[in-house]
Amino acid sequence: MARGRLSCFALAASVLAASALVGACSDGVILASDAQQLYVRLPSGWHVYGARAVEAGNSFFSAMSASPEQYFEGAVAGPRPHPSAIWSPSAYPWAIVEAQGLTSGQQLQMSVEGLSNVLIPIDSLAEQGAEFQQLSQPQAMVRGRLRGSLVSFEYGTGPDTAFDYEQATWVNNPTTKAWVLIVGCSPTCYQLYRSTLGRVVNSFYVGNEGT
Amino acid sequence: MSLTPAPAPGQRPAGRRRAAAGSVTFVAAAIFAGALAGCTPSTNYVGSAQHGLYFEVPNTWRTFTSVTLKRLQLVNEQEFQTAAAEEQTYPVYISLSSPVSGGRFSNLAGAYPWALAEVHALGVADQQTLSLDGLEDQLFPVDEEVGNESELFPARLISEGALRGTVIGYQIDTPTGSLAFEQAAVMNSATTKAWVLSVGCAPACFRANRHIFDHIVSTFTVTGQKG
Repeated sequence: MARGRLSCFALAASVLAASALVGACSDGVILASDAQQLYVRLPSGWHVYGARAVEAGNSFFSAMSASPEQYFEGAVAGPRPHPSAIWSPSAYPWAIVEAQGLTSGQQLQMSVEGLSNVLIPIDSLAEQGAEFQQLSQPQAMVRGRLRGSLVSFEYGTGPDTAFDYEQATWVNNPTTKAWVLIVGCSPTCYQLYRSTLGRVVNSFYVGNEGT
Repeated sequence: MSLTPAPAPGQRPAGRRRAAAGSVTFVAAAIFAGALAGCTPSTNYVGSAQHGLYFEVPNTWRTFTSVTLKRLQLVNEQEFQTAAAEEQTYPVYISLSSPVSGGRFSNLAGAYPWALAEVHALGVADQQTLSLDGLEDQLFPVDEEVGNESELFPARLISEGALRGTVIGYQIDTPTGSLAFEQAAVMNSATTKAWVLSVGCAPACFRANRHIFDHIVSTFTVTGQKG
């Protein structure tokens, strides 16, 4: 019995030690999907939400029901994270990552410029009166058979409603699939966490040339 | 003048020998001609190593000089220089081939089949906005409804390596004439360059030469995939 207790204690101690070691070595939260061939590294402490949690807890995304083929996850930083912070002027950064198949219409119509509309239909929202202000010149990206764009916008007006975001989008050569990462928060937060958000965007990787 | 050597002892008389030699020569020539005909390619390659494209046309076709291209208003160097200076799309390579001579070739909607290849350096605006749909309009503005357009077959999509594109076929009827054409076009990943091969002529000519056109388009090869 005493030996058994000792073994349990030793096991618990090793697990704790291992956890501490992993924690010490851990450089953040990995958001990845083998099936979708995508990978994003988030800073430690960010809380990750699956598609259902985001849809349930976020009024903007509850209106955009994800298709079964669509991969979608969100992440929120801060002391009291909640999915509602995504796509909002929150005081702490948030991220959305998505992979989706493109329709035959999108396949024919898709341009580098059109990539910024893949997840959030900013052109339609702008037509409905939403205000998008470009924060930097769009950048075209090419890696192997993938092409993409990097854009940043301020969405909305006013100190309480506007937020800034950066979006990296990749599309495969046949233009049948797109991968999107958006990171953002309030303008003040965006300035404060600029380098952190930059690292998240730089970590966004679509593997195997998206094939 | 004969290079036939003097007869050696025991050889056949010169007349018969000449006849036999003639027969051998004829047979050899016939065999050689036959072999030569077998080796003669029925097609010629047209294209540019510098711009990374080539395709085959029948060996009876000619590829025109810049004089003909200018007469047909396919080349306007002044326009190209202006477009390049303004970072707009402009052709960096153009070739036109047809079975007739350049002097007899009057226009693309005429009775003679042609193959027109162009490589375009895409301008800054096109790099941002060009889609597969837009690629169809690189030579003939099929989306701009210049006349009555009808699709000859459903568009096919191309995705090879880092190239993407379309194969389309249209007939365009305008008050001044009708043109039928088939076109293969691809662009690179960076959307900085487009390669286009179009073949066609007047609709009746197009129908008569369809098998030649299909072969030409099937040989369209693009190797220059970089920006």
